[in-house]
Amino acid sequence: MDDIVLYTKNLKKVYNADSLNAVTALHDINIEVHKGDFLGVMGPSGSGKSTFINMISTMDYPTDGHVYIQGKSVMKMSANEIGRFRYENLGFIFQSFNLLDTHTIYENIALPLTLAKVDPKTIEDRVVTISKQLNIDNLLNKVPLECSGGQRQRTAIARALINNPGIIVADEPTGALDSENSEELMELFEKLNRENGTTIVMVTHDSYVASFTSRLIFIRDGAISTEIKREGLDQDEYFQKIVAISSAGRSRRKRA
Amino acid sequence: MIFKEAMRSLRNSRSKAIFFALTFFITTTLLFVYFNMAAALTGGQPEVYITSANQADLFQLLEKGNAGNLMMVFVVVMCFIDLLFCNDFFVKNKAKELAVHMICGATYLHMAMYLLIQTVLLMVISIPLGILTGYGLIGLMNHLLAMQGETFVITISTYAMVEFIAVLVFVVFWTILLNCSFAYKSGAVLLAGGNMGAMKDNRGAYGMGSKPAVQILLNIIAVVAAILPLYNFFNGSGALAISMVIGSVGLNRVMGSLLLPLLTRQNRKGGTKKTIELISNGFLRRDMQFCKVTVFLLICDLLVVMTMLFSRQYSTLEYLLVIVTYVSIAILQSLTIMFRLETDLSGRMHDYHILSQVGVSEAEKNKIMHSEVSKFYLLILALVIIYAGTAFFSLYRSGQASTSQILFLSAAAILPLIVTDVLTRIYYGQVIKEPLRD
Repeated sequence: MDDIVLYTKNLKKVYNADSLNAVTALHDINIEVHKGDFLGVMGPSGSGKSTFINMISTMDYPTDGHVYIQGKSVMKMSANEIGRFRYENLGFIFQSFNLLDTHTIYENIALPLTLAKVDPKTIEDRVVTISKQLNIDNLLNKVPLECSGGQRQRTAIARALINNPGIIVADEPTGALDSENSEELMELFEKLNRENGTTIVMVTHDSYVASFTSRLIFIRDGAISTEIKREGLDQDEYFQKIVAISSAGRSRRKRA
Repeated sequence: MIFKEAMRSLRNSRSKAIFFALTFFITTTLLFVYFNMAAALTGGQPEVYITSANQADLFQLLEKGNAGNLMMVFVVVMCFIDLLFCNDFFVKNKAKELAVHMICGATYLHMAMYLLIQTVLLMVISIPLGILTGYGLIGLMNHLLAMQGETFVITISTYAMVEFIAVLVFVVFWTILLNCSFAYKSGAVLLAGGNMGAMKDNRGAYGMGSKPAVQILLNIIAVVAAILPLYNFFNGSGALAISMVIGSVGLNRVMGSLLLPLLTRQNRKGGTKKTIELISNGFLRRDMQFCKVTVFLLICDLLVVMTMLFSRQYSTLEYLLVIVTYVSIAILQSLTIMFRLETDLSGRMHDYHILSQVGVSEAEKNKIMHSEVSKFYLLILALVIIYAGTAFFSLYRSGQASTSQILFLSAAAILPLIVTDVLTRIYYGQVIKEPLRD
């Protein structure tokens, strides 16, 4: 129980709750993420994946239920506390990279460290070290628009990892990458998870990308429909299992 | 249907529409006053009523050459540049709307009409108001002239009105044409899945890469040129105009090649200690890169008119015209800088959303915004003060300018910048609070 880094209890999100057009995007989501987990979240469009990721990444508040990160309830935090909590505990990676195009790669990576008030010398050392690990050390004085999609995503990863956060939250991280860069990125995630014990929660709609995770939940109509673990399966077998579940879900929808 | 859509679009971009109308209002007022004053100077027309012996002075001045025509061209060009950037600011957020129209099969004519209705509605409000204000201003000027003991008056002349209307029609036509071409182009870029950011000038790494010898040489020349006007401190105002123009050209390169990389180095070496400094310096670097041409134009134009003002003896009316030119340039160029800056700032909500995601608090976001705007306008003010101050000192030393003249000209250059600083903060404050729409 002590190694739980993320925990949700009866999580519910209703959009336009006070109007006639109320839409329940999520309901009864109970999930535990342990330290070192590589959790995948799959589901069709509109199933509630993005709402789920917004709830657990403190971007949005649930209508009901609770989100605990590192043992702290997100609901009880003020707006300023949330900000601090984010850069201390969470690292974000998005499909569209979400880098500041006005700033250099160095400045983008350094940003979370400045928020944590780390001294400039340490910032320099850590940025250089992580950029070497991710093979972007020759790009530090460039701006994101001068870099390729893969380089930009690696910059986003460097920014997400620089503060050693408890959890990496990735929303469709391969969405804007070609297959080669996608594969490279997923191998990097796998390595970070295996060697550094980094906890990763990743949303994807791609079965192949999902096959890199160690555990996978399927969300349908706002609720968790299936949960699978890789356990002893090799990647191909795990992939086949994911495809089978995804196809079964599609067939059920067609019949309905 | 198309009218309703255009009205809805105007409502959705209310603050931009107000800025657009305000610029048309100011431009109309300035042009109206200007043409009537310039017509009074031409002397070829009977609209200047000279009721005293000053007639002889005026003819003498006309023999020396007409400063009015030259300055009129100058002001009209400034109006066009101002409207160009104002228009850019107004239509930028309409690219997405137009892309949607294009997807739905709208023709070029349909889209042109859509923009035309919006522009014409704003002009219908702002142009008559501008004319009325211009009429009032001419009355005020006549009153001031009478107080100075001058006996001639500026009237609203037919000749000036014909010129004014011709220029105004051309401005309106030009603006509509710009609206259509820009919006069509940006709509097409969005349709093709492109990034509007890519349409901006992107020179990348802010000069932090390796510098070839030629670049270093050019930078040295630019620094020498930029500090050349300081020569006037010690050597009077003999070469004021030429040194000022060379100086502002050098400054343009210094800003691009030395100041911006300096901000990058500052962020890399010590500036990263504070988040607000790191972010605001990065934004400022972008602002300066985006606006440096307009800043350069402001300084250059002010210096040119200033040196014209003190280059020879003028009659009261001609002197007044040069003063109005100076004030007009200061207002129009400040507005141009503001619109150029705000065009870039209008897309900043995405950056602020990213800052929230990373953990920057709302209070820190506000501080970043104020820090960026303060640094931007302080830098421009500092440049204006350094260059204009050098010129003023030189003119004062040589006895060509009095203290009251210097104070008035300084205030005329600085006040529009202060007003646009405040307007920028109001607009930017709204931008950073906007939710992301996509």
